Amino acid sequence: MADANKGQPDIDPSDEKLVKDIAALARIEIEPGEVQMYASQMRAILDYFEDLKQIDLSGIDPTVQIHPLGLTLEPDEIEPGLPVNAALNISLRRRGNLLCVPRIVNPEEEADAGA
Amino acid sequence: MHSDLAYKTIHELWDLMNNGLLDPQDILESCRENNALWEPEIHAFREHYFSDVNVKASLQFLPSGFLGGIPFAHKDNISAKGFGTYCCSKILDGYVPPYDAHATELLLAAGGLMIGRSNMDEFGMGSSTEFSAFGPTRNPWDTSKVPGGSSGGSAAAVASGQAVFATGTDTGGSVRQPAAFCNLVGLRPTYGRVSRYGLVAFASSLDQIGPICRDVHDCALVFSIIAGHDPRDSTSNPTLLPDLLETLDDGIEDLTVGFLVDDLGDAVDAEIREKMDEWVGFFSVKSKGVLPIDLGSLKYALSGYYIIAPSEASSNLARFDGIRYGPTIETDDLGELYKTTRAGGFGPEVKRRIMIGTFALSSGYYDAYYLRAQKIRTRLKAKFDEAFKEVDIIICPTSPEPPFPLASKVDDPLKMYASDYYVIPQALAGVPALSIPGGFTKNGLPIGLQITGRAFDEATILRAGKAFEREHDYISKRPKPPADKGGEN
Repeated sequence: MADANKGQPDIDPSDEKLVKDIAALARIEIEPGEVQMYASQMRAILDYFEDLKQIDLSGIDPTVQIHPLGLTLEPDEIEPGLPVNAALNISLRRRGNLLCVPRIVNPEEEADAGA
Repeated sequence: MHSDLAYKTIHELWDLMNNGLLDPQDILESCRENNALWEPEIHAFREHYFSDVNVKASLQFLPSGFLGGIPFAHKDNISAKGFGTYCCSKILDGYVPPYDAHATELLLAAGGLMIGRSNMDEFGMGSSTEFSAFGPTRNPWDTSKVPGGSSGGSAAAVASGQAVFATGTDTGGSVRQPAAFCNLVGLRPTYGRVSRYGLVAFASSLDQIGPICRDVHDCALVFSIIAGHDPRDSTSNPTLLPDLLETLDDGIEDLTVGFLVDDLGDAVDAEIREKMDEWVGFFSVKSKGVLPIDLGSLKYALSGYYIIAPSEASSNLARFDGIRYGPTIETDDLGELYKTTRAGGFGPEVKRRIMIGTFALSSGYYDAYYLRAQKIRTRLKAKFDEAFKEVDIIICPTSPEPPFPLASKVDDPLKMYASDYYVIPQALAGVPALSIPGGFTKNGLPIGLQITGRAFDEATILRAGKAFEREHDYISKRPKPPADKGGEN
């Protein structure tokens, strides 16, 4: 595995654009008035992390499982699912026996898929 | 007087009930009285059921089990069938799970009476319970101070006698630090001991459910109830749990005790340093011997944690998208729906951590942050392994400072994160740690002593805790009820 320090781009966490980009990746709307606050807080946090680069970690593997159990599988057995009414009762919106969710396919995409 | 009963331990109440001297209804009444007195001052619960039919319904099944109608506060991120489980987040407002978490099943099967969902930092992200979307909790010992976090509501509920014990969850100290701030006993079990089935995930490789109790005996008892292998959690460990109560009173003459040498300097409160010296003195007399233990810089561990936990959180919390859970802010565009729902549903600390995690996992930064942090974790685990070749337990403070004032850190994330110096290493290494009452400051604020053990060896830290508790009567101290404070607060 490549060493952590190799080929890292210089980052400037104070860059407000970076915060906006990260927020977009994280699917969180940031109000214009909040950008500066998050930019300065993230800058401080990332600066704190800079110390990590001083440690020699060559030859150390990253942790995957802290107490390795290997791959554990559940028995392949049919179990009763959630009763319909129990599922409907926890839904904030329903129509008849259906759970209602917002539209997740845009009409144009739907048309494209059908074409 | 009723209100005193709720300050008794589970085993004391159990003795009274077994001898026919007490009805479980009396314990509930006691908690109810304390609730009326304390709750308006401290806000330990997001919601409680003291005046609700749910309590009456639950009581129909009681008392049959081991906990025999003992009221407990259940942290708001542990699923309970038919009860709101919001993680104290607006994004889960209205969410009522259709199933019980493994820990909930076991506590209810043992006869435990869930009397409320305790307040917490949203999704467990915080060290003061100020990041709850439902308002902060205050520390019963001094209501101008925080109760710790993220399980601050759980600790405050027990400290104020509204519950006899509580559940907490510990991702990076969230059971131990509130227990320390409220003069209680809190256990972070070995990773894998308690099933995470039904626990709303924050950082899956770190999250563990643990008890918050009045004394070590109760802690061993509740832990014994919730621990055990559960095939529904692929990280649940099948290692058998010994009979913890059998060895609890065995003393510590056979143990070698390590005391943590840290690099925190002035970041640690002087009174806590003094206490640490006292604790080392106690263990040097009572145990086989004491040795200094160096785990490397605690600052590196803190950095590692604050990369790994937010990274996992950014992934785990991606499911809260406005489609599947909670309220939705609808827009014409799906991308906008995600963004506006998440912006309105998550509080500032959760947003901050999701963004840090997203950054650390993003292309170009992964190696420098996430991968490096996971190597730090391996290194820390190795340091613990080395230390445990020489010593049986390691002692240190639970927190570098006593309970701090509300609003003193909410706008400064790094200051808040620094509260976690002593509780992060155990979480990263997956080893068990116990916080027990270790004394008080000159101003009467609780100080926690932390005892860390080998993986799967909760028995030894519990008996060490019991040995200390037996000779230091801190657990019998109680915070003054609001009416007695005479304008102090």
